[in-house]
Amino acid sequence: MNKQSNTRDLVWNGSLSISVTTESSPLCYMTNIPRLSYIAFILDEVRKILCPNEKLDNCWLEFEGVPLKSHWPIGVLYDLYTATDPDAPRSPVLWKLVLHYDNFPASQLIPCNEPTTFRTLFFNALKESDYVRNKSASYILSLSNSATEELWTSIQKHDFEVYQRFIPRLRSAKYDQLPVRIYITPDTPVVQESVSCKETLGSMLHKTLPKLFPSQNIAVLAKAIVHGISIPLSTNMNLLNQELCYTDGFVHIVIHML
Amino acid sequence: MLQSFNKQLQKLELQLKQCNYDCKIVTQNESNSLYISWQYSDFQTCVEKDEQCLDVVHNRAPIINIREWIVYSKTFLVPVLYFQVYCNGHFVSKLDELEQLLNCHDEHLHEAVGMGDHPIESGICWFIHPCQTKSFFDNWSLSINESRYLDTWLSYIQCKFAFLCVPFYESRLHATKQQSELQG
Repeated sequence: MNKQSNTRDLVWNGSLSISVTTESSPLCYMTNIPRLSYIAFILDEVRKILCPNEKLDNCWLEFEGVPLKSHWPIGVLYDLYTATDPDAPRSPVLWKLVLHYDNFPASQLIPCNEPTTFRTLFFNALKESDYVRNKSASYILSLSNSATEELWTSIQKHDFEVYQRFIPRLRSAKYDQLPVRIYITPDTPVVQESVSCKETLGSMLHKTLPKLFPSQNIAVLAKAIVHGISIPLSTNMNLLNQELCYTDGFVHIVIHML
Repeated sequence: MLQSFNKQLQKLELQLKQCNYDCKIVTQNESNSLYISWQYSDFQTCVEKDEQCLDVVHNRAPIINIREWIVYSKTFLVPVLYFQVYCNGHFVSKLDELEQLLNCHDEHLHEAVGMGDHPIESGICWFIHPCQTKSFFDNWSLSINESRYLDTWLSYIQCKFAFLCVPFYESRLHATKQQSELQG
């Protein structure tokens, strides 16, 4: 197995252990969920076990009082909200979440009660990332219905064997621009940028967030976390694209203060 | 490249303020966006008797507040209209509810409008998909540096989403009227 495919395997197989409880039930839902996956994929299952009489419309997950966005990759949510330092030694973690089924925070969370809602959101993100790379969403739009279904199912079921067929076009090395989303704190808006493949992570962050990254070479005030890993500022953006891109086509970067 | 666009946003802001709309330019990451907040007026009359048994007409329409942002998309290289709709203080997050409240039944609405992360604040909002806008401007060969770029974009959006463009329509009408009076 070559180094490149090994990294992709590690990223694909990266997972989090979570537990979900709710006030009205003595039960606890526990699972390992891929970092690349989404709360939207498990919410109904959680609801059926913990509060089957409640409507999915009203259900949402929370961590320490913060509503969790079901359309953000769960690995991003973990890195952002727990601020777990990947460079500090620690024991294996169980991420404890709480399920609510009332007072849905409508202005903070997108309701995922309809099966098509999250799928539409996901493909909008994929089209946008395709647009950044290709200057048009031609690849995604040109997928046949059956290919689109295959791609969607591979993401839902976390099936690498099927998903990897789409990787060459999704993450080709020939693109000039990459789509990046940067998460700074839980209550600041996401910074979305199109960045040059030729840049390093440090030069990109120095340009985009100069106050947090006054140096391109040394992480003085903050560091960049992708898939729970602290990434050196010297890393080439194209490498991030090839190895650490998420299934929606974006490189999602969480910023941790030092 | 965005200098001209920013100037056009400022001009629009001025026109909106002249019509007493609550609006401002918001700067974030060196990009300017225009924010406007307004109340959507609808009338659903009902007649009730007062203490003297006289007929009194009431408006029982829900109070609909709309917040909008014109933001330049660095991905699609066109302006995008983001918006939030509140009905009696409650955030409207379902498209069916939006259709009913704003009386905007259109079979293409579900394809044209999406929901996602707010580009300026930390919540979520609706937006009009920008992919078709790019083709529109390419067909027109209209550059962002041209002074009529933003007006043209507003006209394009207004054709399809008039219910969201009331302030822009009013302010432009007002500006046109002022200009005619000056010339007259």
